[in-house]
Amino acid sequence: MKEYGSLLIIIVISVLIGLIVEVLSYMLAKRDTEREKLSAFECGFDAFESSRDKFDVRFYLVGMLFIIFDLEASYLYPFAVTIESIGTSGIVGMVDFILELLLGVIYIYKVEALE
Amino acid sequence: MEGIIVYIFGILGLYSGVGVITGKTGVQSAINLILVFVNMCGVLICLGIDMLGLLLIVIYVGAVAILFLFVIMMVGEEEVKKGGTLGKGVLVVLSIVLLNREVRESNKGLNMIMEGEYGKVLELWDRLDTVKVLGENLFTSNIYNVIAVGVLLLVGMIGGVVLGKEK
Repeated sequence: MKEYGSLLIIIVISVLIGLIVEVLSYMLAKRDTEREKLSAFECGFDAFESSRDKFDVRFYLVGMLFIIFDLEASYLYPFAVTIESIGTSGIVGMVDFILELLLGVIYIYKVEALE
Repeated sequence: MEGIIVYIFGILGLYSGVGVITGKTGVQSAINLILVFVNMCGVLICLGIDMLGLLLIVIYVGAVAILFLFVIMMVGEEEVKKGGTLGKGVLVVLSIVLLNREVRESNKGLNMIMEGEYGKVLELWDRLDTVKVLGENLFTSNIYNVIAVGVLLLVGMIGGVVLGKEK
């Protein structure tokens, strides 16, 4: 897996940079701890509600559709690499696979699920 | 070199796996879960299964973990119940014991492979193009399974739209 060596170097460098920034700011900065500094600040008031909002269920729908097309794309990578050697049946099967998902896309647009 | 990196990714993955169990809030646990997936991707790439490792990132980190975050934020922080300290402790100890056993077993298997004639197979394995092997197996003898997966994805898509559509 020599192709991934440069990726490893990038990972190591990014981890190092993150560590350096954290450790330097931890060691060098002057710290005066005070309780008020840690409390939430919202225009001078205490926070009215939890900062984590509840989502509409439609965001979840978008996420789910994203997963499905993500999976479809992950089938396309090996297909694109081996398109020369899989023969007619493989290509016809893959076209069928894509047509099925195209049916889904047409359905989504028909019922306007993403409006 | 690769062996050392496998162990580094494995230990980091184990550490974040414990973090999934002991995280204070659901969001912390979900972010630790993303870390587990990323580390396991590193392990898979070091073992030479690069296609599956990258798919782990694309599918699990890109989609499933985000959906976990959505669910946690939709349900609300308060309603995500976590076990008590005793339950967490038991889980951590149990997972460490089980993992210890697994590592010993798999080391045994690996030594057997390296000593025997399987070493040649491993050499071949190093020069293998996993994307090509996956594609050639998937689209020749298993093409009907691919079509079935397409139908399943279509059903999932329509089911999600029917359930999630605004009434």
